[in-house]
Amino acid sequence: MAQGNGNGKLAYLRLLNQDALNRVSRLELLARGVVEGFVTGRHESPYKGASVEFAEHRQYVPGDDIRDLDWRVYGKTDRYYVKQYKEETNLRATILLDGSGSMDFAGEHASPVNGEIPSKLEYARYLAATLTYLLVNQQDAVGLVTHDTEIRDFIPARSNARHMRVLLQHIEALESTGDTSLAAVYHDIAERVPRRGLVIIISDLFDEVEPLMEALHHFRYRKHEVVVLHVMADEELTFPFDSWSDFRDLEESGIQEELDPLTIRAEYLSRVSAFVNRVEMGCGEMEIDYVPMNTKIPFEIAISGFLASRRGQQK
Amino acid sequence: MTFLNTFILAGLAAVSIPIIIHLFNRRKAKVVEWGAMQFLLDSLIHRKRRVLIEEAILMALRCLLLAALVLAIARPFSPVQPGISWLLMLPLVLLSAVLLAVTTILARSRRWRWFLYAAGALVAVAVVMATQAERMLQLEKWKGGAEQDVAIIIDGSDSMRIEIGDLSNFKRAIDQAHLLMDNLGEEDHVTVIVAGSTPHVVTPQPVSARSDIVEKLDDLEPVGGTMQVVDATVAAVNSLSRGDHAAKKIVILSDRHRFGWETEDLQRWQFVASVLDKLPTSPRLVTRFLDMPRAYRNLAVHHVQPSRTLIGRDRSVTIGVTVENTGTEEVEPEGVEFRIAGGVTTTVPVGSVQPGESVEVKLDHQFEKAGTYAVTTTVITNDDMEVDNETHHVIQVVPSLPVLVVDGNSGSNDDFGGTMFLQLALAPPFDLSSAANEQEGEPGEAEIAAEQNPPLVEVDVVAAPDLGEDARLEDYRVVILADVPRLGAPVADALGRFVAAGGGLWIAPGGRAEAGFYNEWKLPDGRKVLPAGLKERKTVEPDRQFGISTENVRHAAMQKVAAEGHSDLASTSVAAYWELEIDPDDARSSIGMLLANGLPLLVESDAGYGRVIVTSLSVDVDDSNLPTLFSFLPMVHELTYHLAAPDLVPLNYEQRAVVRFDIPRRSNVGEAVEDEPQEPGEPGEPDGTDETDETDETDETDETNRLIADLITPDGALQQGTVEVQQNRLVVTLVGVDQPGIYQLQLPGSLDRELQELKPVSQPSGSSSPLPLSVTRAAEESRLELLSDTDQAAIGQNVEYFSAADDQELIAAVIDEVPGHELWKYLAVAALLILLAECFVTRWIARQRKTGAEEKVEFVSEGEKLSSFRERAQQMLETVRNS
Repeated sequence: MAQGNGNGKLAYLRLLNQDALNRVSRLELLARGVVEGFVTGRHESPYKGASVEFAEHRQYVPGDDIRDLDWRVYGKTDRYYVKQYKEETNLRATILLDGSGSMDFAGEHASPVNGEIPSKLEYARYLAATLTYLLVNQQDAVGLVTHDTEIRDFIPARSNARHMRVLLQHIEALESTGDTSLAAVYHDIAERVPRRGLVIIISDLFDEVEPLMEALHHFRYRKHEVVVLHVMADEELTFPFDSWSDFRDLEESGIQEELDPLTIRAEYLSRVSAFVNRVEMGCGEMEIDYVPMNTKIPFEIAISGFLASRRGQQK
Repeated sequence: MTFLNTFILAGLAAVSIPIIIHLFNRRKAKVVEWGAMQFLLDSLIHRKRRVLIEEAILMALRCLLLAALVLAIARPFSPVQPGISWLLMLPLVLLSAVLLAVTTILARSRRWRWFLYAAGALVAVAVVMATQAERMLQLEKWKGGAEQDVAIIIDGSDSMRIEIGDLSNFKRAIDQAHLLMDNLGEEDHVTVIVAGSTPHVVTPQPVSARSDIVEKLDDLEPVGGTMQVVDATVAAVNSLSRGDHAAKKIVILSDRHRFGWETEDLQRWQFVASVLDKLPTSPRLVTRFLDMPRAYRNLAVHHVQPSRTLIGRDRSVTIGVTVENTGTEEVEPEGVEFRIAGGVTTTVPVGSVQPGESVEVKLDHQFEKAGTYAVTTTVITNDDMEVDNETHHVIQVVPSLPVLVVDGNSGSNDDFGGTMFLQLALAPPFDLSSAANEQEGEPGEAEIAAEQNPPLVEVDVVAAPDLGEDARLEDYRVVILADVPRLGAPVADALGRFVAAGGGLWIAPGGRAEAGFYNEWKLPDGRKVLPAGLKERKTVEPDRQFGISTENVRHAAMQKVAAEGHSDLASTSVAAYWELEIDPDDARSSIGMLLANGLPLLVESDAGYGRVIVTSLSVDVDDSNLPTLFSFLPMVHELTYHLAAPDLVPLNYEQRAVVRFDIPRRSNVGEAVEDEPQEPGEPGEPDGTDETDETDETDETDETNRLIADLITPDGALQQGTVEVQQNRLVVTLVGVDQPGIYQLQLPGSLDRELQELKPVSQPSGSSSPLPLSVTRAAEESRLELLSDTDQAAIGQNVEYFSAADDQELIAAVIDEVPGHELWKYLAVAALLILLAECFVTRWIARQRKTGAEEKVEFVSEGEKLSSFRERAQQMLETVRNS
């Protein structure tokens, strides 16, 4: 299972980038707020109003909800503190991680992690790991589905610390293979994931756009809350090649095209643009949270930005 | 087609540069492991064909550009007589460049690609080899490289004087000669000939082109007349033969005036070819034709012609002249001026003359003194060619025409014999024209007129038996035998000599004539005197009498009579006649007129210098009523004038190299003539061969018989001619009579008396009397008829001929480069156009591909800017850290 880099079972720890984890730890309160928002704000959670355990005080920063101000502390210390709560939620999140061939693309523009340029898949792994960590730390139940054209691992959602290690091991172990036929796989997953969960899709979504949209709709039909983290490399978005190149398909088709990229750049970009727009629009229509993730942006910043924007949405 | 910089052609390999760059780019194509193949393939399917075509066009343009540049630098050259046209070769090279380019882009299989590359390269190499082969052939064809002698013939004809834009073609030709000499090598030699009716050799032998001949050129003037090309070429060959170098060239700088080239005369050009072959190497004849004017305004005056050949003082003569418009515009001259030596000047008005039209202008004039008159005719107008506005003619007015009538009827009692009719007709006792006036009064007017204008014809009548050996026949110009039975042998011989020396003889046999005598009568050269033998005397029954035929009159004198409006020749009635028998072998005899029954009435032949006429009718009323007819008088006059004409000295000539004519000597006629008289023929034929014959002839004659005569040209220069004194002739030979105008021939003093009759009237009496001769220019020189391509082809059949179209070709043809024109300019322009096309296509393709203006993929969340994400995220991180 763990195909890591020689450190055996500890290889997955690599994914927990210390810097990222530190940042994520410091963002813990924020992340909790986000999760809270996920659950209590947008989704009519049946668990709304359940016991909420006080966790700690934190100094007020602009942007915090005034309702959370602890006026008693203010009275004693003349300083603003907000109350932070440890909430037990019953959020059941499932992360769908795409391991198809196209995810193996590593553009040079991508922001390096630990001095190495991550492929889209690696970037997706970091995203998945971070989210897993975040969610598990929030006592949420987290599940994981890795797939290419078909499901490879299906780990149902649970919420305990040991489970996180299992998840991280699977995330680490995912290798890119095969074609992408997302629509079929998503239909399958949509049926298998229990209803009313949070589904986080991390993929480049490279598939025929209309079947894909139908598959996403299937999740919504199953009453899932869906977040799409659309991972694309900057090269795929800007097509910066200017000399003859031999493009080889990362997927199993074996297609190989030798061409002068400048000749088709405009055509290519317009197609990509049409695709991205269509996906974004489709997600908007279906009230799916669509988040573009350009590997050029350091993933921690990207995820923080994403969470920040989520929080912004809550207000 | 050839290339001047052959080695540059190696640069054609540069065509492969864009191809190699393209292939190199493809070869070093970076491998990109690509995920978004889905979009790439879609784009490719949509664009691939179009992209290929665009790329192929671009590549073709780039290869073409390089090929055109290299070809331009290699200086393609199209010789005037190309083996393979550049219109085939250049496109072939360019096409092969296109083939290579298109192959590079479009050929899918590697095998095909290399095959097509090889084909394109092969075509290019084949073209290069073909042009090299052609270069060899052309160089071989135009030979050369060695030092050479070049004869430059400058057309000095009248038409070269025409000014086009303030500069005459003659000056232009001199400029061309300068240009040519500047381009000749240091060691090359040049000889210059100005060609007119006679060639004027400026340098007797070739001299260095760098010598002072160059300065001499600017002083040259047109010699006038018509350029006699053959004569000029022969003169050029003569000069070239004295040159040191084996290689020779002849260059003709002309205005392409056709007249004088004699292209219709094959023998002349075969003669030229044979002359050229006498040189060590047969030279090429190179012509360079200057432009003729398009619009041209010119009147020319020529062909002064008196109405009669024999002109006396007795009555007026009509002098006619032709005014021809040889230009392209209508011209209205102020008139035609006749200036007759001796002070009479008359201007005759002329209306406007249309282009191509000829108008005859006439002047009636009665000469008062015997002698020669120089008549100058000028059309008064201001036109482009001035020299042909004036022409000259010399008219000889004879003092009298002594005629001896030998009467064969004497002794008979018939008072109305033929002799009387003749006498009356030739010398009427009164002026018929003024007879009518006489009746009005004013008696004696006729006598006064006769005093002032003595009759031309002076008739002496002698009875046949009285004509003895002592008869001074030389005093007469014409002898008429009116029904003479026979003559004594000495008299007959004397008459034979008289005719041979130039006298005229009219034999009118009647009933008494003895056929035996006449048929056996011989000239000094042994030929028969009679143009036709007397076969049989025939009489016609009174009721069957017939007339004479006025149709088909061939005799010049009788034509004039028959043509007169009031001619009554048709009412002739013949009672008796001689049937004339013509010797079919004698080509000199010609029938001038017929009887109505078809038998000859008048037969004429030349005899020595003179003429003999025999008529089948006598002038007796017994034979016919002819003597009683009104037409009898003009008939007798015209026949007499005609018979006396050979005695006139020919005084009018066209410009020519050699003039030769005879002057009859009155004093010696009657003495025994031992040498056979020269065949009269056309005196002084202008062909070159005649010259050599002549020198042979003069070598044979006795030196003492040849005298030098002075000849003063119209512009006052002194030339010399020769006079050969023969027994009854003076044979004058003049060389280089080529200036239009009046020449003065001054015979040596001892011969001066021979010319009494020819003394010019304007000359003061007592001084020595020069003989005026007129020289006229050929009328054709005024007509700007151009030498056609057919004409030039005819020349090319006999000699190696090349006509240079411009200065470069002229120089090339002379200095033995291959004449032709360079093509690099076209290629340079083509390259520029291709470059522009390349830029345009590149831009167009860029626009099509939206290079630099591609759609930007919006890949940020919900419209928020990525930067603001980052800002916010970092801001929050800061906050967290601070806390």
